[in-house]
Amino acid sequence: MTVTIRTLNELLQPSHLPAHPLATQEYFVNMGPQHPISHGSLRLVLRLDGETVKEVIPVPGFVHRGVEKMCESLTPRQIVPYTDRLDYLSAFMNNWAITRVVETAAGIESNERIETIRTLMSELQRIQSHALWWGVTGMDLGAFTAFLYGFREREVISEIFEETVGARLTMNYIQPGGVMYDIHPNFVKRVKDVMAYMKPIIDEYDTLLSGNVILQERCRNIGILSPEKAIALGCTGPVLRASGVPYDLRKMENYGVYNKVDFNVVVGAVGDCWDRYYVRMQEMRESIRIVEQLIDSIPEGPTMTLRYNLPIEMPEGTYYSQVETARGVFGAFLVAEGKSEKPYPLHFRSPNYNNLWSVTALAPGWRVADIIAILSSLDLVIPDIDR
Amino acid sequence: MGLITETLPAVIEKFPGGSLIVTSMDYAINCSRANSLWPLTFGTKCCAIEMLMATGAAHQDLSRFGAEVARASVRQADLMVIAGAIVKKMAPRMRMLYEQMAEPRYVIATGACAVSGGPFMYNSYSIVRGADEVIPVDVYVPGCPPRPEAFFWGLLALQKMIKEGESVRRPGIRRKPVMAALPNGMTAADVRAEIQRELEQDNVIDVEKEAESKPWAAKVKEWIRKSSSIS
Amino acid sequence: MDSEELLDIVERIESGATKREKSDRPAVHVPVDRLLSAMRRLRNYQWLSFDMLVTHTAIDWPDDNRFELVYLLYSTVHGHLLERPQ
Ligand code: SF4
Repeated sequence: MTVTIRTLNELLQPSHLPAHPLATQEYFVNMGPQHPISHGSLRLVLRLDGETVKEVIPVPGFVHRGVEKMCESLTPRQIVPYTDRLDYLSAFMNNWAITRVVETAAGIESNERIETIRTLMSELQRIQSHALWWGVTGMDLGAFTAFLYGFREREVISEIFEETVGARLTMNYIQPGGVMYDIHPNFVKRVKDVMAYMKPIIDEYDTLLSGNVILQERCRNIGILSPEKAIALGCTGPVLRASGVPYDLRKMENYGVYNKVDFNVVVGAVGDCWDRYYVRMQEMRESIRIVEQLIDSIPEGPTMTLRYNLPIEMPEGTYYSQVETARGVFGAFLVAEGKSEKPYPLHFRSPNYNNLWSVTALAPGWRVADIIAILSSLDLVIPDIDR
Repeated sequence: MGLITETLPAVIEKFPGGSLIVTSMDYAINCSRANSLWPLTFGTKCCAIEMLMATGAAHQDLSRFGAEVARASVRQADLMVIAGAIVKKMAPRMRMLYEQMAEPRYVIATGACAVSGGPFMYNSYSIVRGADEVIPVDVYVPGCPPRPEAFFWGLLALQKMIKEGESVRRPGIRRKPVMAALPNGMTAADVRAEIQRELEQDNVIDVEKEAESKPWAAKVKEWIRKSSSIS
Repeated sequence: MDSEELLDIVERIESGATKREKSDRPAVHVPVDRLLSAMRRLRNYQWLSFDMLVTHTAIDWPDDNRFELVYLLYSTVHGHLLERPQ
């Protein structure tokens, strides 16, 4: 078995040199690391022939803080806040992933109330994240109004979080053994109000942007990802589902209280940018359905089953748990030595990393402007790629 | 009749049907600079969502302070908002971006990461512990992430700094950096009230009244009386 | 298909594979020279069809002077997950 490793320098050699002065020549264009579309620091090297993209070489690592290495010297409770800072738009779900792996390892039981609160928070955040994505996509494709609308709804949901959690972005809420605080007395009423408010809003989004000719032209049949390719690249979340693979951990993994609620897994038909766009729009609707089914019947019970000052003891072994975040499968792989509270290595499987590499398969053959549509339909969060 | 005030170092000449303001170049330019900052979209991490995106949107609305035209190109920007962690790979690029910005340029470091390395200060092998190790910073806004209101607090601090100091002729020389942390016990409502007050104050300037209230108003009047008697 | 069954099957198709203890998911050890063929079979056998590599990582065991590579495979057809340290 041989593996060839090519450095960036080798990749940046043009594949052919012009034999004739009139022949076209390949050239390279650097996109990033400071680029408005990347929403963070991501560098893409484009090999172009005229305006046609021949190859995309992603160069990640501009926000690499070494979180996994840091986690080796932290206890499980200390790791939780760091997962917020990976994919900060799905902070609850990331908390949940590490919490799940610690709970399976240490055999911590949780109760119905905890699971319901976790599910509710995650779904609210999924709506929030998709609303933000919708606004930003609109902005990337030239519709600044969408940005203002998307952030309007984000603020509404942020205020719910702020009331219960005390934070707007980095939540640190779902902990091994339960949740940090009980829900605010206003929570149920507020969520109901917001859900009633959100339902027509999604339709408003549709009328505002989905039917727009420019958006349709820039998205339909652009960047088609076949299901085989998507699976081979390890894409997950809306990117995979848009390619027609009904793969949703909420149905498959049986965590939280998802088995009690009735919701559909949204899949696309073609796998182009438009499908990725519309899968997310429908997912917002499904999430609203989930929240509405759960909000009336939050069971009673304690919200923390573990004493805070007790160390969490994990017996020796390897553990893996995953949850479905707004962008795909976020997993945590933990090896416990059984000697101390700290994990031996901890590996995060982040959805954006795999989704990013799908751009190498998607982009060739399209124009430079299509890269923008493709990237924004992938909905990348860069710190999650670099970790 | 002319007036010189302290807050507005300007002379107002009244005409029938209007008035003419004569002021110092420094003041006029600093004032315009402070109220028309063009931030650079330089977000590396979580703070970017709160600092650059949420504040730009309608709920918080950065444009009240004349700073909403976020530019992607450094050549069109004069305010660098460092929102997020700077790692060793990014640091030289950030330095380059800073040097490409036209002078005078201002830097606000928002978030614990940009101030000191924040949550990644310990144990991390790749973080730059504070953006001020790479480029000079004017205003620090702590928080993880700071609320948008806290960012406005920092922006107001920067605007005050620009309005007060720094002559036009020596744009490179700036004052000591300030820490624009919200005072203890200050709530978001207080900040909103403060912002409201500032905005109103900026919009309504009664020059003559301001000048009357100054301790040296009598001296100025005397001086004006003398100068008019000469002519 | 439950995890014990799955483990049985995998152990049977790949000579030299041993069960990996202390793991919360079904897991097998595969010697490094058998890795490629094992992976191919796992993907191509229709009743296994582990078509997605969810993640792969490594554990460093300095005491034994070795690395352990961990591949997490998933089947989108059947919906089962397998961890294959080797
Ligand atoms: S200060 Fe906190 S919120 Fe801001 S970039 Fe750093 S970790 Fe993220």
